[in-house]
Amino acid sequence: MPFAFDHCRITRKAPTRRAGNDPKEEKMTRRILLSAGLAALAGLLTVAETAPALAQARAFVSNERDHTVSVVDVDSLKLIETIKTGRRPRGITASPDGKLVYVCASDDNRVEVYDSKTYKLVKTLRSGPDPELFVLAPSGNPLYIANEDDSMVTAVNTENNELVAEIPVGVEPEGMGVSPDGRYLVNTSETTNMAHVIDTTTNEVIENVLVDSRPRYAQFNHDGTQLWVSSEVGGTVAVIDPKNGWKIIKKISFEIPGVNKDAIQPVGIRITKDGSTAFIALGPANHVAVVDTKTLEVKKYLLVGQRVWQLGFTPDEKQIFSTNGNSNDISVIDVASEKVLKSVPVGRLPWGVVIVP
Amino acid sequence: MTRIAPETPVPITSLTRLRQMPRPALAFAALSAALLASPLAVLPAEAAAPAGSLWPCIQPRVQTLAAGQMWDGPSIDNNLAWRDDAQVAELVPVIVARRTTIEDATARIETFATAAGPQKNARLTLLFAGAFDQINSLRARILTGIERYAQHQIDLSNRIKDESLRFAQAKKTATTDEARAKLADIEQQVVWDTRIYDSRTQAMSAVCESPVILEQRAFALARAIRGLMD
Repeated sequence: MPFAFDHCRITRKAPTRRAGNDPKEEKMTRRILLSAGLAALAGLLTVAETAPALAQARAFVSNERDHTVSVVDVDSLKLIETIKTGRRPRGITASPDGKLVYVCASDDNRVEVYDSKTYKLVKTLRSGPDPELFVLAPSGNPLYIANEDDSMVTAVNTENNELVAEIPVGVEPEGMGVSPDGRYLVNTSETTNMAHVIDTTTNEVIENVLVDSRPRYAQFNHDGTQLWVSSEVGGTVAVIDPKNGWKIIKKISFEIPGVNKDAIQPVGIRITKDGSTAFIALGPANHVAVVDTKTLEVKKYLLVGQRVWQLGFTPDEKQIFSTNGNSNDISVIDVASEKVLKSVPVGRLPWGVVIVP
Repeated sequence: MTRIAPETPVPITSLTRLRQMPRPALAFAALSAALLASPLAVLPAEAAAPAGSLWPCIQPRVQTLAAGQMWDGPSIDNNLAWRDDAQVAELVPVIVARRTTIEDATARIETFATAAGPQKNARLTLLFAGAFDQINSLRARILTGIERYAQHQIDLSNRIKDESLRFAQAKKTATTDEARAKLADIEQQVVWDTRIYDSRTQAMSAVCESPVILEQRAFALARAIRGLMD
C-alpha cells in the first residue's frame, strides 16, 4: 500500500499517483496523506472514510534538526502531518484565534507563517538575524523576536511585515515574555544574565533584573502579578513581582534524587490560566517540575523525555505537552493528576510546541 | 616511488571509503578504530589529562550518566549484583549492543518480563541496573577514546607544521636530483597528513554524537523496562 487516505485532516495531494487508481477517487475529494513519518510505518497505514469533521486540537512541534514541524492530533495522539519548514525551526507560537502558526526558521533568518488547517505556508515575515524565540503581543500584533546574534529585539507588524521597532538589549537575547495586557515585554539575555523589561508603548527598556546564569525563558502568569524567568546554567527560576519594582520574590531551585545538579537546567515555563500551578522543563534532567505558585515550592518532578525543552498546554488545559530534544518525542502530561500519560515520537530534536483548538 | 611513512595509518582506499560512509557509521568506524587501536591507553590518558581539557566536542562532557535522569523506579544503587541472575546476565549484553534495534530489545524485554514470575518488578529493576551499568562503562571508554582522538589531531597538526617548515627549508637548498627527490617525498607527506587531518576533523562532529547516541539508548531501554513494571 503506497499511501493512506486520511479521514479528518485534509492535507495535500500526492505529487504522483500510481496507474490503475480509480479516477472517481479524485472526485470524492479524498486527499492523500504522504508524510515521511507515516510512510515509515508502512504496513500500518489505514484506509478511512472521507469525513470532514470539525477541526480538533492539533499540536505543532518544531523539529530543529529535521527542518520540519510535526503535527500531532491531540485526541488520538497520532502524528498526522509533517510540514517541511525553513532551516532550523525553533520558536513556535500561534495567533490568538489559533488560525496561524508562526515558526522561527533560525538559519533562514525569517519567521514563517502557516495556516493551521491546511498546513500551507501563508507568508514569511522579517525577523532580523538568527531568530530563536519570539512572543506575540496578546492582541496578535506585533510579533517580538529575539535576535541572538546582534543583541536586539525586533518588533514586526504581522499584518504587513513592517518593522515596528528595533530595541537594543543585552548580549545574546533569548527568552521572550509579554504581560497579559501587552504593556510589558520581557527579554532575557543569556550572556548579560538579565531580564530586560521593555515598555511597549515607548519600546524602551525601563528595568533590568539580574538573575542567575544564562536566563532562557520568561513567562508572565495570566493576571500579570508574577513574572517567571528560568536560568539554564544557574539552575533556578526567579519569580519576579512586576507590581513592586520588578523585585525578585523567590529563586526556586530544584533537586531530583539520582540526578546530578548540573543536569538540572530549567528552560521552558508554563503557568495554568487559574494561576495555581507552574510547569517547568528541566532540560537534560529529563524532568518537568510541577510548582505551586502560591507557596513557590516544587510539588513533584515528572520524568518525561531526554533534554526536555519547551512546553505547551492544550486549549482546555487538561494536558500539557513537553518537547524532548534528545529522545525525539513529546510527552503528554495530565494536568489534574500530574502524571505522564504517553510519549509520541516526532521529528529529530523537537524544540517547541504550540497547540491550537 | 612514493614513500609512505609507517605511522601514516590510512591507505587511500580506506580513506575514500571513510568519506563515502554515512556519518554515524563513520563515527562508529572511526571510534571503533580509535578504541581498538590502543585499549591500554585508556587509563593513562584519563589519568594524565584533567577532565575536559582535551574535550573537543560542543556537547558538554558529562563523565557518568545518572540513573535518575531516566529512571523513576526503585533505586538501583543496591542492584549491582545483576550478573547473579543468569537470565538478566544473558539479556543485558544483547539489549545494550548497538546492533540490537530498540524494537528488538523491547520485544526481548517483554519476553523476559512475561517469564519473570512473581519477582517481575525486582528482576526488571535488576535488568535496568545491568543495562545502565554496561552502557555507562562503555560510554566512559568512548569519552576517553574521543579525547585520544582529539590528542591525535593535535599531534598530527604539529607534525604537519614541522613537515611544512622542513619542506620550505629543503626547497631552498634542493639543487641535486637526490635533494629534489627528497623534497617531493616531504611534500607528499604533508599532503597525506593534511588529508588525514581534514577527514578526521570532518568526522569529529559525528564522533561527538556517540555518547549522545548511547545516552539515548540507555533512556529508551529504561523507558521500555519501566513501562512493563506494575
